[in-house]
Amino acid sequence: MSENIKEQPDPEKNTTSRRDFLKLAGALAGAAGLAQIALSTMTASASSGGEEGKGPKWGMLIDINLCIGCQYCTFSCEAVNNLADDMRYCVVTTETTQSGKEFFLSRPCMHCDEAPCVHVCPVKATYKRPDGIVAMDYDLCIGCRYCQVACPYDARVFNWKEPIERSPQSPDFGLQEVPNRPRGVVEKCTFCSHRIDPGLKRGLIPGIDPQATPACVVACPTHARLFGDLSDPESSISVALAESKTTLRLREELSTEPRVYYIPPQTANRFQGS
Amino acid sequence: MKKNQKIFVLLATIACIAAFVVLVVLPSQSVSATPGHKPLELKDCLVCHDQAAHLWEGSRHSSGNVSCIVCHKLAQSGGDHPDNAKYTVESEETTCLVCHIDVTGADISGEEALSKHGRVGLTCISCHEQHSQGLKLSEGSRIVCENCHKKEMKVMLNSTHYKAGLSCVNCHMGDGKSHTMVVALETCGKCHANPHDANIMLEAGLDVKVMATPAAMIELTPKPTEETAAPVSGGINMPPWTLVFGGILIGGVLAWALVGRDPGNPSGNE
Amino acid sequence: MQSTIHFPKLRFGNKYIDIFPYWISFLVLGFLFGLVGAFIVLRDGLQVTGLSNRVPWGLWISIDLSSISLGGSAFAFGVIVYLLRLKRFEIVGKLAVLLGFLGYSTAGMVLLFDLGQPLRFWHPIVYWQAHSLLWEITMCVILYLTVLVAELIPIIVELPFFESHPWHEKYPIVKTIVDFAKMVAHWLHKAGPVLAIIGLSLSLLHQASLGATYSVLYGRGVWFNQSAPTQFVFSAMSGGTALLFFLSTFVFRVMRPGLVKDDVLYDVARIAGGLTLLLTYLRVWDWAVTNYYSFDRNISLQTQALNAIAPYSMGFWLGQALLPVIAGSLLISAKSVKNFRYLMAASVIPVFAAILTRWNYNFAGLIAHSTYDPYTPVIRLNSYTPTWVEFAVATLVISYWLLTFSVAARYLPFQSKHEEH
Repeated sequence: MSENIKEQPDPEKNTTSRRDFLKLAGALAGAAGLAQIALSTMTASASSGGEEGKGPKWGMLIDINLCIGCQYCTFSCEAVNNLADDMRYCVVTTETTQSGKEFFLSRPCMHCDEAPCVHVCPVKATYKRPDGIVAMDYDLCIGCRYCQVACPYDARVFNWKEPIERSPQSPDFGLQEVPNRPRGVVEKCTFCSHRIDPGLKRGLIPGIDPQATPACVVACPTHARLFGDLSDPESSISVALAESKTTLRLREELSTEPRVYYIPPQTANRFQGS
Repeated sequence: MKKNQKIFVLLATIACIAAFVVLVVLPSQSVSATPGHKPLELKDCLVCHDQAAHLWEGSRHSSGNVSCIVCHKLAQSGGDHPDNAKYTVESEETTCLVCHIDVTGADISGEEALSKHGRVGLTCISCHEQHSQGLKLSEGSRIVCENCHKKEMKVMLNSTHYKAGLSCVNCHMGDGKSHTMVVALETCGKCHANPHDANIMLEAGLDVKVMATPAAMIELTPKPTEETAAPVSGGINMPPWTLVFGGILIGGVLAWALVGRDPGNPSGNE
Repeated sequence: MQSTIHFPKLRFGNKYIDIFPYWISFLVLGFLFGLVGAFIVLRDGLQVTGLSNRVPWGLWISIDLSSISLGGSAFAFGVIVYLLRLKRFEIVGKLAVLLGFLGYSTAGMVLLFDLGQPLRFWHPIVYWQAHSLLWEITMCVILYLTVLVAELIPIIVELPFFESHPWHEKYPIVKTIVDFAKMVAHWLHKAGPVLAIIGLSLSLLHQASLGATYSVLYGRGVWFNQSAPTQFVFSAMSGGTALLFFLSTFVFRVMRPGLVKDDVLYDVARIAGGLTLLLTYLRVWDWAVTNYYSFDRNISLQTQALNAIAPYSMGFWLGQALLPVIAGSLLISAKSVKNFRYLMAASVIPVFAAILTRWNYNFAGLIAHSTYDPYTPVIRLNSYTPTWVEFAVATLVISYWLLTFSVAARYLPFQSKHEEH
């Protein structure tokens, strides 16, 4: 029983064993000598696009027509990641179409395929996982904030202060599920990879089983958000993407290839850049 | 012999107590145990999930003996949590609606959804925090309705009803706690049996004035404070002394260039 | 050959007072004040600054960019002295090496404070991300600082202390260290040309990548500018050489009269002037094609918004272009102007221009940000107000710069005894 408890991710106690392990690993890596590191650098993939191949590619589809602007996605994200109100990963803003109709734009991290933040990080603290998630190693981050400057979507937040005891949105929108990040590192949306990875091991399907789906998707009361595997044509998100006449990605002209798609408001015409 | 007798009586008493315990206490505890597994109790859950358990403790569910495993069902295969079991809430139909069919039957259960909430897909936990069963977003003066119905709340905050101490649920749910959120025809009549009787407002302690027109009411509404838009004007705000400092530096160089001494002849050198 | 060192003195009645101790005490006070700020930053983290998620880079990064650019003369004169073999610039070249060292060490210091996790400053050395410009910059700063130290050691070894001192007899360990330092210095002196080439490539790479740091960020206004790396290089060369002229006039004309001929100083001024005019030419073209780069709707909106507020407006750009033209023309005709007062005053302008360029460039992309509305994007302006702690740390690094320079200018022998090899 006690062993089981140890393996259970412990949201309340913020175990630091993983961090300690990484520190040890970092020290060993340093001791292993520069040659090996240089070798690993040379063999590392040059593109941030992750390794091409089989396996899921996670993506999100947000139907703007269904969004009622309740900000439940933001709140649940804050509760799960233990964020203060000024450190939101996911922001809901009110925008207008050309005809003046107001709509709500919910903006998480886009998990771009050509993520500027991955390209600019000087220490490989942020990286593209093979499944498309732009993840961060908080033990490597030096807090230079170049990724924040580089991100065209303002998706990154810096830990200016010490982590808070408990998010103002907890427990209403869930309990803390990931360890706190230290002061002085940049952090970001993870597509709730702490839910996806153990969920897959347990045989759950992210996007269908709520335990393996990002908190914002689960919390959305109107099901405006769909999450799933973009590489699987049978997944609900692929089907919805194929069915919808037009989809939209934010600032597509920057060729960052975001993995978050939007179904535009029905009355709007897509803005054409000059 | 007496000594042996004493020991026998003692043993017999212990055996009786043990039998009592085994027969009476233990069965009641092992009711929910899955065969082959150690029974799980609240204190087992508390080891890890103390935050959730504390929320549950003061709730209606706790007084009604609806403990963790009533909603967080064990999988058929067994309960060796947390590795294999889907120790989790499966869906609202199999969880909340098992007991709350009378309350929610009218608005959430499938196609018969009558309320607008049900039609856009809201479920129980959209408004309720599942462990404490309280309403979400209700600390301080906040109310969960306001989160989505901002425009309605703006008008409501200046209404006579609000001043009389009524809130959304008084009309939209009524005494029966109907979750359809529909205001029935008879709802108004409950207070306004005689629509021309002003006493009811006076009794509520209201300063009765000429009624404002709806348009005027909206004008009276306070500006939303939480939606602080980014400043229209901005930029780098340097403190004034930096300008003075820079001015002295540049002015000094300029003055020296115009009226100063040539740098080739140091003053101490002559 | 050893010339006497003069230091500016103030006349009170009939007395001449050496202001050096007062100047040094003033700087030490500034340094101590800065230490207070540095302590607060390291203890409380970056929450004590005026930075935010919207404007994550501020005053310190601007100082970092400026101090590196003002050390840019080091590589320019490394080339002149070691590759072009122009012996007459050798003494001025030593001052350039000192300025380079000061610029880069100041930058390193201020960058350390700007990190969220200062104790992880060594991470870029171990965890390589060769695609990141910031990684390249970090490595360049570290390597070039090493090269500059190597170039500086032979200059320091010229101090009289290393020649003879009572301590050499009194403490054998001092003698050992001095002998070792002399040996190292001798090697390094021999390796001078190699070091100069390494330093040149590192520094050139680095100055260019500072500009590229911003210009790869295509999502922000103004920054996506393919000429930025070139401009940063030329701006550093022009500003750095102008500063070198200003300070070498002070060091070699006021404090050590006779050590360097006036003709050499005129030539330094002419180089600075030429570089300034070249830079201005580049800047005018850059300004003309700014709108060409704003192909993206959001970015052109940002550029428009920036043009409407003061430091980015057209008047400012014109001023930035016109004033250096005057200064550059004055400096390039140094041999006919022959007035060191005018020349020194003129050389201040390219220095300020280099600082202002970096200041502006740093904030341009951060101040105006567009909303994410795909239909009707609007430009919002972000605010940034530096706090006193930021100014305190700025005081710390600037007083470090001035303090080290003042001491070096007074005590370093800039002439070499091993000149005739």
